Amino acid sequence: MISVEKVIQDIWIMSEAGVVLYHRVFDKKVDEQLFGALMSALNTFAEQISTGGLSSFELKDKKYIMIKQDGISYIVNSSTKTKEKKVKEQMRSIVTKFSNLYPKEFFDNWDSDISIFEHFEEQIKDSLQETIDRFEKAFW
Amino acid sequence: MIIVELNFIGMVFELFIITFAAILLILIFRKYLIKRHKLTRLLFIIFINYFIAIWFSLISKVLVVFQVILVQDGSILAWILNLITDFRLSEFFVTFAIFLSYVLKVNVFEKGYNTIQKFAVIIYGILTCIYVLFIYESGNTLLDIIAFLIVFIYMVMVYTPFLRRAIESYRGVQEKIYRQAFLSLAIMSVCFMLIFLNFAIDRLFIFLGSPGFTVFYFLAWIFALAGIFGAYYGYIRPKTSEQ
Repeated sequence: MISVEKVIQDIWIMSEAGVVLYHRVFDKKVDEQLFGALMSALNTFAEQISTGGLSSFELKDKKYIMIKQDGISYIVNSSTKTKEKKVKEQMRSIVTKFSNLYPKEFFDNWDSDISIFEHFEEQIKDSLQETIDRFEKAFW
Repeated sequence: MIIVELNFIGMVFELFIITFAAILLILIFRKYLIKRHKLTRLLFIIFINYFIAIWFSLISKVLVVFQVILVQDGSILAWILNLITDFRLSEFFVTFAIFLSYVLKVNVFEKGYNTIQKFAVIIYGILTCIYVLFIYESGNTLLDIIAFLIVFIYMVMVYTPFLRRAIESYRGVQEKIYRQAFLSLAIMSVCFMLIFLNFAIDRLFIFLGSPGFTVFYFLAWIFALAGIFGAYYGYIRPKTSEQ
């Protein structure tokens, strides 16, 4: 099966308290130490940016972009070769989907059970990957 | 005499086009033998229909070049020959290919059929078939122009969403090989749509007194050729070396 190099590779959605509500990891073979350092950096970064703010940094061969909205931090990464405009476009779509599905009021009564966010996977399921899989099976 | 000469040029040009169409058809069939997938089979059937359409167009030129006299005795044979010479039989096969292209588009790009869109495509397709086969009068160019425009609209109905999805996919992937494939399919869609627009314009010139075979006739076939190459680079070429 062809693995499409996605515009957005990894996604983390974090609460104000730094709890990872949802994450999707494109490359699961990330070095553990690097991952620890990364999470620490992400936390610090998330604390620093204000609501509605957007920031970015580069680590190794990846570019990280962060957006904070309604106390929720959205962090995504992409290849440094990918155009930032494309990444931001897709990121905005993810932010909109998440905030529509779990609005601010939802968190007032939230019982800290993060398993509820597992359903978010379906919302951002890559239809492009499905298309490419079909093309691969039938033609390529 | 000039009509025969023009038809001879058209015949040679269409022979050239049909050669490429035949090569593409063979390559799709080879791909089907490798993949044995229902969508590859569907693509093969689509291009068989396009091939038959080109074949009948070529036959119409052959009939004129070799001065086969069509006796208008009201027989079924005369009716079929009229349909061939005025491109109507070709339009019928193209209409069927467009409908199958819609099925292919839904199966590769969408999660399922949109009910309204599905019925619109089926009903318009049936009406197009009725028009191209039965609303016919020998020598009535206006009816022919309308026929070309009806098929052109059907092409737009099916290939515009195809084009949109191909461009979205092109923008969404990073790998050069897949970007190229989706871009080729986008080019194929545009070219297929432009074929019938150019044929309609060519017929319009005939309606206005031209002997035909204007630049638009040749443009139409050039777009057909470009579409064939688009289909090759979109469906066949990617990863061929690995197979």
